[in-house]
Amino acid sequence: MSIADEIREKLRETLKDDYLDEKSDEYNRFYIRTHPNRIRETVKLLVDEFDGRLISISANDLGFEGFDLVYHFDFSHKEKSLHIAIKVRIPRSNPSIDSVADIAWSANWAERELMDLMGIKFVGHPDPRRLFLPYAWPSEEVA
Amino acid sequence: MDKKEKVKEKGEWTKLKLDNNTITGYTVPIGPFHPALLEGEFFKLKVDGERVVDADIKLGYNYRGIMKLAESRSYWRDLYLVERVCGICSHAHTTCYTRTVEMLGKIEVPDRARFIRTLVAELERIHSHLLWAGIGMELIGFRTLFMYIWREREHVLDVLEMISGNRQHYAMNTIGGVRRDVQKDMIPKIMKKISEMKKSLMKLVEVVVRDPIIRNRTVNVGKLDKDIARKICVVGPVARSVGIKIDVRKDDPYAAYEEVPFDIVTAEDGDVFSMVEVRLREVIESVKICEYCLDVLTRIGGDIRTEISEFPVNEAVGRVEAPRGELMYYIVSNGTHIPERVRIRTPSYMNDYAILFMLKDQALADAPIIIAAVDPCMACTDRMIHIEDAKSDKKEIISVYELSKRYRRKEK
Repeated sequence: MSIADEIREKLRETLKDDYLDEKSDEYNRFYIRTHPNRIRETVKLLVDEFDGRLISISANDLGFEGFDLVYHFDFSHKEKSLHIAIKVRIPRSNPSIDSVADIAWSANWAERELMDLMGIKFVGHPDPRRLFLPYAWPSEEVA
Repeated sequence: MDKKEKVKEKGEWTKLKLDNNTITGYTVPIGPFHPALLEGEFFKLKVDGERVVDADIKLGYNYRGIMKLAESRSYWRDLYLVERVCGICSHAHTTCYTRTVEMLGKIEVPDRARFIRTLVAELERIHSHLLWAGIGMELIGFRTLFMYIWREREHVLDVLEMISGNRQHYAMNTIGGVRRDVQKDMIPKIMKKISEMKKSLMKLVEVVVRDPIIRNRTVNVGKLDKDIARKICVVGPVARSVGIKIDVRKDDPYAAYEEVPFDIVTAEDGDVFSMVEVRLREVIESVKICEYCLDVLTRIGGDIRTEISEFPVNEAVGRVEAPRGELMYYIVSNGTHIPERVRIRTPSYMNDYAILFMLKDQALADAPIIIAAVDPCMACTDRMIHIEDAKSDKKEIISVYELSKRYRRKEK
């Protein structure tokens, strides 16, 4: 069994009904959708058990539908080209999600960046200062 | 102007997360002017005597909003935009962008184009690493070697000018191939230049690795712990210098790297010396890759680009080993000729975080070389350093060059 199958199996086992959707392409990239409440669990599993590298977090602004957060995990040091992206959707009315910066340190700056540029709140971030914007920049509600 | 008005004019400034009562001493701000894109940096070093106790970093002084701009232009116009993200690794950015767009549309690139991409990418890596090595040597006071290294770099730029017509911003890549062919009569000339360069580079590496002065200034300086490096996910030569064997060229092959034989260079110690060593040994590997690519280009012919008709609704993650490490693009398309979302994650963005850990408990005299050691696209330009005494309001503005000059000779 390849590592990709192993990881997906394990994720399915732990997330159960919250394993919402899965997509893959021929370049060994997987896109897995889950519920925002389960993100800490998922990241902990991928980082601690499977030695995944959280290389980036990106956010897609979908207008009225909210934001799609994409957590990019790289496993290519274990299996060739393997990249797993965990997707969660958060509503526009309340764009907040649990921070994972204490589990994966590399999420620290990525979350601070998204707080600055997209106005998403990461609850429980250890150092929620501005990263790109000046420290004195007024906090704005998402329109 | 009294102090309150001054603060008002500059904007509120959040203090460092340090307890001023327990730590006595100076805060040394470094920055913020910076020539490259995402990583316009401003360092604040808290010093106790000559030792750095804690460090803080602020980004965003040169934030140009390229990711947002890219969402309002067509795929073809984005090509010119992403090339200008960085002046030194411009080819890496277009390679990564075109790779991601080709993954979106499932486009196959012709063989000849793949080898030309690899050739230019490796030449760019040589020039970037040599540029860094020169600056690094100058920061520790070795001017002769700086001149020596940059003379070799000039030969690489000549080759790049011969191939693309430009010393920087080669504009070689396009979606589905490359824009210029490497002419058959050009190849022997390039070969000659590269083989001459290889000899002097081999000699140079031996000089740098064995020189007692360089060893004194760099061995055991700015040590990065392997576990911390793993946790903060450092990339590229910084990761390889602490013994983490990752390289996108091997792990997630793009262009022609799957067919080209080469070794991943690693070191174990994670200090500034191993970062110098890894980069210089990588240059030799790059020269070998260039020779292989040129050899293949003499044998194979064919097209250098394919035609593209449409971009379907899709999403793709493309990764490339830029000279500074792993570069990532994430593009979401919506079926039109304008991308829905473009996310750029540059390598320095990951590596800069490591500087904070490397600086801790080091001498202030070593701060310039430690900050430069991760190659944060920032040693390129002379910037001002502002030294401030927290207690007496004494201020002093000096340049990085002067600071490095002042600390050429480290007092033990």
